[in-house]
Amino acid sequence: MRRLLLGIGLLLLCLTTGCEYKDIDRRIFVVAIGIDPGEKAGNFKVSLKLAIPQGDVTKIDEKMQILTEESSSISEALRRMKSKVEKELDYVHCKSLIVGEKLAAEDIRHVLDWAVRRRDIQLILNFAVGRPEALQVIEVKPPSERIPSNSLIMAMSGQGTESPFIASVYAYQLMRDIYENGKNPILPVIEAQGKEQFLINKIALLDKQKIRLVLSANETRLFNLLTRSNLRTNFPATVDDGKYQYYTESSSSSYRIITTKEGEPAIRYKIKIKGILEESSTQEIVTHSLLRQISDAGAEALNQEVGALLYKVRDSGLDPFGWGIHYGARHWNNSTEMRDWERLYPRLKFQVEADVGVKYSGMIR
Amino acid sequence: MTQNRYFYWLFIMNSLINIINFVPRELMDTRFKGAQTSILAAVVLGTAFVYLFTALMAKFPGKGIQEILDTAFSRVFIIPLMVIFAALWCAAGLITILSFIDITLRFISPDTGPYLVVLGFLVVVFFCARMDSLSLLYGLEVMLGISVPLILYTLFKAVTNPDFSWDAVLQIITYFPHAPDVKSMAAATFSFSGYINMAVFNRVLPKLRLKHRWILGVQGLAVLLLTFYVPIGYFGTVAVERHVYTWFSTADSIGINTFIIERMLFIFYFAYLNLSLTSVIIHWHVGKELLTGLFPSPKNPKSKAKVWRELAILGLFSAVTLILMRLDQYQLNALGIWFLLARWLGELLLIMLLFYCYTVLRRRNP
Amino acid sequence: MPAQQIVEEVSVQWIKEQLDHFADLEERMLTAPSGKAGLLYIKSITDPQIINRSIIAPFYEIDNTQVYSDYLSSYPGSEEGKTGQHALELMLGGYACVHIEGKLCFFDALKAETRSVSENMTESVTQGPSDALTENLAVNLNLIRRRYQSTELKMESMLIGNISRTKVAILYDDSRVNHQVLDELRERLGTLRIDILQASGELEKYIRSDKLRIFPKTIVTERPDRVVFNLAEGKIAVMLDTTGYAILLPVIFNDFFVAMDDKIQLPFVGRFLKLLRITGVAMTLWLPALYVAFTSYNPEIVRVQIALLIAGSRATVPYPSFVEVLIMLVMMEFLTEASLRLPRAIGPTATTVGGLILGQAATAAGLVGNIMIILVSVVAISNFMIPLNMMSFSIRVLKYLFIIAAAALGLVGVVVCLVGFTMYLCSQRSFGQPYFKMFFLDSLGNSGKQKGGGR
Repeated sequence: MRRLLLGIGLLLLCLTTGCEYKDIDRRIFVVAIGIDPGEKAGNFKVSLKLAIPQGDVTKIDEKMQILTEESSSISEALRRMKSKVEKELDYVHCKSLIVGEKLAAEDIRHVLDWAVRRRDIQLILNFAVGRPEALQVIEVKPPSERIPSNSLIMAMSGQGTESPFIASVYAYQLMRDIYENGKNPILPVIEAQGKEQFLINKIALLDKQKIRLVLSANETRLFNLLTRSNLRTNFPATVDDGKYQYYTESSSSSYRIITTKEGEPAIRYKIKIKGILEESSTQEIVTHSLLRQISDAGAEALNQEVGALLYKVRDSGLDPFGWGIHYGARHWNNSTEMRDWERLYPRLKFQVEADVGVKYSGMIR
Repeated sequence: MTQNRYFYWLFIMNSLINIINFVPRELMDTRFKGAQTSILAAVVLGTAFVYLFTALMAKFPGKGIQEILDTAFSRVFIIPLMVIFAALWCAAGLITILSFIDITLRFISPDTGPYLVVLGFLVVVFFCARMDSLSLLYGLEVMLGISVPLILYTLFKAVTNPDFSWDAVLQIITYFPHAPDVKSMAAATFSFSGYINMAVFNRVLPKLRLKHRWILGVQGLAVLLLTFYVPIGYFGTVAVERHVYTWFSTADSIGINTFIIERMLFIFYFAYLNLSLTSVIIHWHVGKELLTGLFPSPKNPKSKAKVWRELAILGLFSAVTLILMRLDQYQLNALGIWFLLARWLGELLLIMLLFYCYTVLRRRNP
Repeated sequence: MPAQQIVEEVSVQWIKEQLDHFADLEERMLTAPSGKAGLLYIKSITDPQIINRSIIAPFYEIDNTQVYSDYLSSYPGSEEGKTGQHALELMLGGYACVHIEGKLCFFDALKAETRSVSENMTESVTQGPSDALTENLAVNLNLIRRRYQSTELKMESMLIGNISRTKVAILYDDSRVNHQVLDELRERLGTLRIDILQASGELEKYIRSDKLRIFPKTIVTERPDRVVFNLAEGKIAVMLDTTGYAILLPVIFNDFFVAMDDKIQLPFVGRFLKLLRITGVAMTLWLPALYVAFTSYNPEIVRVQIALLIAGSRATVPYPSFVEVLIMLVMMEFLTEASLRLPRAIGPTATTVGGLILGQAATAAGLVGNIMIILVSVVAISNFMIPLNMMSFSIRVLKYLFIIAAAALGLVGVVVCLVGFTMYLCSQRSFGQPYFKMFFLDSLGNSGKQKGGGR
């Protein structure tokens, strides 16, 4: 009796296989999605980058396919694209979502809502702004790439290059910052340069819905210095005529919102950098005192640049650093603190105290 | 000493499973209006319940709740009580399994038919809930041994993430001074209600002598605070309410760089699937034991009647599960919240009944 | 000497009648000046040397038949047949029957054809003793007593099998054994009614309690050092004459993953080896199932690079992944099974041909993915890391259960199966003792108790 039941159970189990049984070779993985505004107002032009697996792994020959479809909604465009390929489109491995610059200048919340709501799209999806269009960005195919879109994934997630100009933003972060009181979201900007190269070295600052300001490459680096620890980069320092570059071995930054003696609100940034001298334009032997001078000059240069960036950000009225929530987190008057902050914000002063210590002169003196 | 640990395992199981049973949902809804004080109140209340219950149970070594009630009440009174308690335990398992099916369909296999998944879960629960109590405790221990390290790893990864927004957490902490919310508090005490399973497991753990029960309070507090704060660190103070399964979304936000699996979600899911299946098995086992206790025990120990009774009871539980599969997300949520409240009242009732039994016992043999 | 009283019942004539048509029955009359004696024995199971030296020669050397009779009855191993049945049993057990002046005396002259102590075959170790139990109970006892010199080592013996009359010895350390288990074992052996008992595995089959089961509940071993090690742990060893294996019980799941080298190795190395074995079991159980789950249901779990690799390797495979897995695994089972049965000389042929065909040709033909080959080899190798064969076979069968679950439900199926599997293990009992749980936590508690023993 028992054996019979067991047999029937096993048979049923075997029969159930194949219900929704879809092998990996009958799926086609979407590795990147690009969303641009359509030609008709209100429409979306959705482009998908599909990875086509290779039978022979030893051959370095990446194959990919780009699908594009325009429709009034993202889902509709995706459904229509289903009939353009023979396999099932699978979004579970989608790692990057590129929003076209034009769309990002209008509203990104719709796209974000779609990406977060869909169950098969992960929350660690990299969001970025594509320039000039998202389609151009996902069409880029670097020659070093073996797996489609791998270069984009590696660059954006920081697993490969550790460029100081890249700030990666995941879907959950974007969503957090969009809804949070006292913080504004940022997005990295990816520029397509031809068919084989892209450039990620800018950050777009958004208010709660669209791009308001794009930082330059240098500003982006400083932004990353302020928001990340141990940024690997180099900064210049000028002593007399000599131009020097030092590499940051370790860096850290912190800030406090204070009230100055005059009763004005201010933010005091402290930046600590330990560095190695990397480049020198003079043939002088680097002495201990010169190393000190370089450090001081570097700190001074940093103070000014960071200060300029901070004032620029303040004047734009945006809060990408989350000073607002930082203020709120340290005040217990919950009902009024955000209004206080909004009053204080335009009057903010910044004090930057960079502490650069160039410890080594490199391999030669 | 060696037996005592099973009590702690039962406790830990419940406190970990709370994130599936809508406890975070309830806490998040009141995060600006006293969730944190509710947690504190729940810790105090929950620990008090644990102390009271274990102290009372210790007066009845080796007895299940049925035998204890038999000493003080008549059968007419016991039968409805037992049915109510069994229903509560059935509901506990039911909520866990239903929300876990929902989670599975959302996060893991959107393509698989829901009834197939239910069937898979029900088959294993059905067979395992019929095992004897001691085996279940052994199994629980092994399952915790598998799941807890993974959960700790997830937590570690979650908190050490540089993108974790400590400011958001601090901001929420500044919302601390509010009066506790009764519903949130009742929900939060779910973390402490693992002890209640002793109502049946006391039969197989006769020599229970508990030391360091305050650890349970500390552990419960830690679990509740983590349950509450970690998702806020990931989704901010405002957006956190938008996620349906807060904790699974949190796990989905954590990436692992150096492993063949790159999304923490799956490790977390694996750990919680183990844990919630075990918890359903244990809850339904308790429910089944309570109901089978109502029937007179058959004279012949090998008789088929006992087996058929067990099958019928578990079949009933499964049928309810299948019927309730129709509920949509909001109805399920409402059911979960309702259960959290009802369970709390049920615990209170059980402790009062035990206390009454204890006074009767004292009066009888002073 | 009570022999005289039963001569009427058990006479030589009667025995001869019972043993009619025994072509190997020998009867000799010994005649000396002092008297006469008759000798009756079954030639094929008696040792002619013993007969010559201990029975015939003394007869002629001792002049007095009375003295000779005393000599025989006081000789170790000689018995007097009390009843006819007993007399026959003795005759069949290799005793020679000597009758002097109407008295019958049975003299042990058994010739046991055994091989000498040889190297063990099934559980080899790198270091440590390599002698194996033999088919002779006395030799086995010698091997064990020599290693376990304690007065607490008790031995009980009984005969099982109406026809085979197999000697069964139960060994245990009286101070360490769980007497509940011992009583249960005695009861089960006592109520056993079978005709033939030839192998330890057979006995194990008879004394188990449940009919349907997947896991072995007793260890069958041929290593005397394992027997001794387990005796010291309070286990019971059941040994049979005529088989070279001992049964150890009750066992727990973890016992099957202990190789005898673990004790010899440095503690760290031993732990590592054990961990390795457990990982091996996990791999062999789950890898095929996970492959099915990952390729057919949940490709999102592995990272995209791996997913694309799998997809690429499966690009030419014309059937679903679980069919692929099943085909390859069954092929592998064929290979192991065949190389097990093949004579040693052509054994390597099977491996070469199998390895070549399965490994190279199948992928080249596009019938199987590359990754599948790696997977199958890992499964095959890790399966044989389990030191005890019985368990290794169980695991070999069980992995198919996981594959079916994975084919039905994907990852969810595998996990559900894992929960069921663990719960099933936990619900098992070996002679009333728990089979699987976190045993090390028990000992943790105990050691804590010993430290704080003053309380």
